[in-house]
Amino acid sequence: MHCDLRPSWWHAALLVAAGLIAGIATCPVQAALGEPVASVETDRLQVGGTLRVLPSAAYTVHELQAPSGTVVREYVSPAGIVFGVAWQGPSMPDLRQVLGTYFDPYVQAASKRNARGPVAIAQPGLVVQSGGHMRAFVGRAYIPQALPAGVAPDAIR
Amino acid sequence: MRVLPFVTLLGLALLLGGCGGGGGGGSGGGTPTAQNVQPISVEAGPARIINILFVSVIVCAPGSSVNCQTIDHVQVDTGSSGLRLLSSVVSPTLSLPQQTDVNGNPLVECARFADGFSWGSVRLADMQVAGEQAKSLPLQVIGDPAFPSIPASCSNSGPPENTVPTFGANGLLGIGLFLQDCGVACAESPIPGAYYSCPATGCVPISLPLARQLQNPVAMFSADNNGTIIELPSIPATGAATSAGSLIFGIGTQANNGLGGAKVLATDPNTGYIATRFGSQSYATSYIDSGSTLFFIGESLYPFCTGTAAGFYCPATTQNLSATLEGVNAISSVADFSIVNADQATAANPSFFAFDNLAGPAGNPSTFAWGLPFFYGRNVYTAIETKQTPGGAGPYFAF
Repeated sequence: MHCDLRPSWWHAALLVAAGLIAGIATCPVQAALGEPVASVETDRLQVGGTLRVLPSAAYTVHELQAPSGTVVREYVSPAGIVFGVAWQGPSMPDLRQVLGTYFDPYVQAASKRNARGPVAIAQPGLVVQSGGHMRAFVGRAYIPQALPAGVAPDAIR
Repeated sequence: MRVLPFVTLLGLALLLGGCGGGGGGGSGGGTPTAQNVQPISVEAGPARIINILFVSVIVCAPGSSVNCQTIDHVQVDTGSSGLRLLSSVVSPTLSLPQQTDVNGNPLVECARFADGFSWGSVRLADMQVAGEQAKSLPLQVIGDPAFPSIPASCSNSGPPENTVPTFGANGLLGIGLFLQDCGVACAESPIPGAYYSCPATGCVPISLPLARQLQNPVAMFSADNNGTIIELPSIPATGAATSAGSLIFGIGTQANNGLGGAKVLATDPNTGYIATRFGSQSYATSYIDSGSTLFFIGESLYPFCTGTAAGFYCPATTQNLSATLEGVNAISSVADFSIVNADQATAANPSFFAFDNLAGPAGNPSTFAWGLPFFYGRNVYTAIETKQTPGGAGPYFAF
């Protein structure tokens, strides 16, 4: 099943009509990098995983723990945009869902590498880092230009 | 790939050796090494990637001593567990039996690595390496044409690595810290992106008992089954075209595999991580991984290369460095190493495939992966979880 949670007109219509989306429960719900977080707040409540929201002055962290034990953190700007994501745990998260429209550029860049092991992609508009090994993965991604004022990349981890 | 009729003296010696247990020393039939020693090498290989450590293994149809094939250029990986072979190099005449779930549906696995995923069937084989044998070993056949449709929950994890050029080798011999590749997590619940049941209607994630998962082949040997040693010689600072060494099975089980003065660094039993102190920083996500082709350190330690080694580190001058590796048992050991300008080093010797001083960013500010460069000039021990050794039970690394 395709698991696209990017906001769209039909998505919004479903939300209004049903109050929840039955099929969405098969997807660990979270907003994707570079996209508004507000559109999926309702979906988030339907998920079995646990969610913690950690507000701070410069940004808010939405921390989602999947049943597999992997934790995904979304870093949300005051404007409501996900400017960074980080993950850690025994299972690699669904990176297409986490990275959204940035997934395909990530795969394209990572495929060009002539090495095996951790991946680090640093493009002008996108940083993706994926490391660890089976049973213990760690990684993060962010949009350098979207970091709120005063927030360093080190905050995303 | 060659299919070898297994009627030679060498073959008989290997088969007998696999059942014999103790002994050690040279075995007959012209075998150049001891029962528990297999030659390994770093060379161009089928994908021409720097610092891939290769070994040859023999796979046979389960129970057969004649329907066998030698698979060369299989990558040796202390960062995973299980045997994986690319479908394109496996002879169809082996007819390795497809494994099934409790309902009789085919089992297929999505193996996920930091840098991509590999999709393929779970089959059964007898595997031989040196004089050791793992009978009825579940293995993954990557890119199996019988299962061409890859579920999104698998392919959404990164670049596909389902061919020899994208995988970097003809297969992977995972001889890491763990008994299975996935472990308890996959036995307790279906995890998207791990094991799948694939009836004609499509593949769905399933849970899978430990014994049905891919197994660390070493743990299935009848002897020398508690771990491994990778021994590679030192190489010049300018690199080398090739490097040849030994993969030794067992720790403290034979005259040739004692711990000696090696320090035992226990790893976290769940993650396999140790810690590394380097400079003013502590890297909590640290591991020793023969399957990683560089030192992968931090996020932006040095300027990035812009030439043929783009994505690697390119310090202006050679960095002579030292770091301290720390086990969860509070034992630590210092490692000296160097990092050179990867653009210059690879351009100076474009036909070289062994380098002990190339590094790149790790993908995370707290990650320090001691890849294959670490192994040159060292004997690196990997002890398997729960297995007893003279240095205590695994999981641990020692060097």
